[in-house]
Amino acid sequence: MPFTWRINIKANPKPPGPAVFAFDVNPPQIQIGDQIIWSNDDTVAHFPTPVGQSYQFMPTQIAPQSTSPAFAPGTPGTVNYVCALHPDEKASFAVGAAPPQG
Amino acid sequence: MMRPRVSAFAIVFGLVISMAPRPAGTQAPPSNCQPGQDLIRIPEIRSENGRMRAEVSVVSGKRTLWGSTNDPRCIPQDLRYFQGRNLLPPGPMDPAFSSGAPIPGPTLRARVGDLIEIKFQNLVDPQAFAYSLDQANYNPANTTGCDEVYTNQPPPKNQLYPGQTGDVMPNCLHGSSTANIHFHGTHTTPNTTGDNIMLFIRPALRSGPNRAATRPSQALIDKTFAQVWAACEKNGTPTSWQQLPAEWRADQERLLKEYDRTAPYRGKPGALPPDMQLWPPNEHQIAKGVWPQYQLGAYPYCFRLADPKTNTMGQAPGTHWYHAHKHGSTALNVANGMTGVFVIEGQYDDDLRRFYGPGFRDQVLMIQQLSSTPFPALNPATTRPNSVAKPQFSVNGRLNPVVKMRPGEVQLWRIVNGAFRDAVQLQSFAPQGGLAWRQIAQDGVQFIYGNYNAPGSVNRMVNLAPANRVDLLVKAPAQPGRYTLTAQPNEGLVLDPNLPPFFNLGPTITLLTVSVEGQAVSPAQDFIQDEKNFPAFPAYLADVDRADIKLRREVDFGPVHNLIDGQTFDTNVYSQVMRLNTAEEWKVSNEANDKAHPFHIHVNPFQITELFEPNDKNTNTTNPTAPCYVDPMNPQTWKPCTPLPGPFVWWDTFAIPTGKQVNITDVCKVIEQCPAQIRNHTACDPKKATCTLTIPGYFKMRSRFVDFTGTYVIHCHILIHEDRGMMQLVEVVPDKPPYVHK
Repeated sequence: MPFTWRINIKANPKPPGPAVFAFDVNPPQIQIGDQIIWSNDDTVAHFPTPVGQSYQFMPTQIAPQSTSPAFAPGTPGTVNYVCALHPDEKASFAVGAAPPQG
Repeated sequence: MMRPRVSAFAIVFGLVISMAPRPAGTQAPPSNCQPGQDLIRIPEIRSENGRMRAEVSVVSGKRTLWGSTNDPRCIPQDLRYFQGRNLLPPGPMDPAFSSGAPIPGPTLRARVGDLIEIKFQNLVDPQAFAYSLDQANYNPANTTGCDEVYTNQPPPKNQLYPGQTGDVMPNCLHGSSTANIHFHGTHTTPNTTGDNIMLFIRPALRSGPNRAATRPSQALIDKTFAQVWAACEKNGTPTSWQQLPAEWRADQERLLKEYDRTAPYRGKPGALPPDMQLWPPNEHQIAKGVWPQYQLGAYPYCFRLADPKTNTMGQAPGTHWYHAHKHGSTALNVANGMTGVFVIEGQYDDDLRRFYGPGFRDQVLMIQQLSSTPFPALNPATTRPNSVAKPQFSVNGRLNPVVKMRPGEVQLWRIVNGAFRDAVQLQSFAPQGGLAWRQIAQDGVQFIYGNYNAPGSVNRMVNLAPANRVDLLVKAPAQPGRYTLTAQPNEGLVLDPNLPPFFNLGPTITLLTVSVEGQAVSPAQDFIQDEKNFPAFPAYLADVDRADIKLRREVDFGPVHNLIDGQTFDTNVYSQVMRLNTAEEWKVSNEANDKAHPFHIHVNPFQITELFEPNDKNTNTTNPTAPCYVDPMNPQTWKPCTPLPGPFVWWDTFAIPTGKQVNITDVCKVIEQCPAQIRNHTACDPKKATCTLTIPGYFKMRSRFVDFTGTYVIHCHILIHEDRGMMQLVEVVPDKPPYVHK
């Protein structure tokens, strides 16, 4: 059964630095088929967007104090992403292969 | 275990958790995912002096879950789950609920005729879960409202859900932080503060940097709920919203308007379109004299378990359960663990205790398939050509837990299949010859002695479709030992043999282990062997006689996952309307050949009186000269060879036998050419010029629609099917008009 991973978006405790993306469960062990959501705990909107890809994690920005739809990676590898509204906010996550099915 | 990976971002931001070695001589606590640990006994809340007053809350938090078979990960997940405590007198919350183990909600233990008062609170923090709306925009030009899942594909393939599934509101996954409680198996009112699954109880509002909750104050809840319950004790369940305290009603209006004013939509706060707001439909319903559906933060349940002295049919004493039943998120909520056992005691229990003595123990066993996602087949990455990652079965929040028995002891096992999708067949104990069982009740209704004592009743396999319950008397041998209970997960034990291997039954599992240990019970106990010692059977549960049937109707499930009678769930249509105080016979069919859809009806149990399984190996569909030939071309022959003998068993959920597909291309290649009598059961592919006939499986059931009028539902208890539309509204209307002509 797939797992769900939450990435919290928190205001930088030392402004004016960029907001922080942090997995709620760390270290993450994301695998293909799992789902990732972003939880915007900040007071402004954010918009996580993969770098150099033809797809989006989500169709719209995340309202403050709200969450994103789920993103289910379908390929392994490292995904770099940035906030489309705040280009200094950068992060990445790694996706492993799916386990063999029973 | 798989070696944990550390993501690049974690390194960048210095978020790596220290993996310090454990001091020598200390042992790591057993992982919650480790099979073979002791069974967790679920905390109980008991009624006293004819009344239960309990607090049951749905909360959110981290609980550790295991992966599917072959996935060794063991990971804390954000889940929404029930916890609860007694309020008579107010007691503490049992620490078991916050232990991180994914246990069910508290076991409620009441007695037939008791008044049930529950302070229900929705304390979920939606910030821990994917964005999920409560009410869709019904404008057909705007299909938003369903939960969405995206993947790394360019549009339009990037949307996995709803994507190309065809799901649209309200028959799609949505509103998953909203909750209610269905008291499954209760014979009580489906209205107002009773077993009312039309309620959508929103979580408390949360906003601001510290996620402070805006909700009804505890003082207001305690004050007004006490008033509601006092009135309920005196006058019965309220019938009008105006009967609730004005202070409570005003506060609910304030909170719902605040939700409408602030809820985020499409990435912007406070942008909810008017037809997605919650107060307007409430206002409309209140104006029409209808109980409003949307509530926020808390809700005062109050209803009585039908007393046979004052009702036509009393509540059956037995093993029932409760679970979330909010359309669009029932599967996910139940997968998260929003379930609990509801033991309703009565003469049945008194008689068992009288026979076995005061030390007689019952084991409350809730089977679940826990998961943080409801839909394993959604993501192509989790689906292989011949397999789908399915959640494992657990019991009381543990994999293969160890149940303890004393040598020579007989226990009553109250088993609930609270899984959100799959059936499980209890097959046998190994090694054989030690433990033995005998079924004594089904779906919370005790057997009559003749069914308990039928030939082959010892160790007879029992299949529990989702929502089924069985009570088993389990007898331990006189010697200590260890036994495993083998079970077979399934979506129907008898499927169409022409299906591809993907549908074959998978491997069996060990559902639990029994350790027979400790001081022997002396003298050793045995199964009840004499009818005079068997629990008395209530007269109000006597068979529904054929002569009492006032109406016969047919209901057809399938052929796909979201259709009953060819339609998805329509909130504006009563699909079945029954008159109070009448008995009916329903023929419930299944057009699907790959799943035994479990039919469930609320409020009133039913008796299975006829069963037709076209895929059963004993059903003759090939030899016209042999007896009981089922002729594909003649629907008159689509029926069982032998009748079911009485006395009949009561159920509230029954897996409809699967249909059988027959290629009739040699008869017709387009639907217009097919014989008229089978056309309704035939599908043709114009491109391939082939036609396939489905001989539906079916059961006939009889039920008495007594004691309670109101609106409730029938649905498939594969809950993802219910969420996606395999449900109908039904209504029981008064048998007598309120008018007089003199």
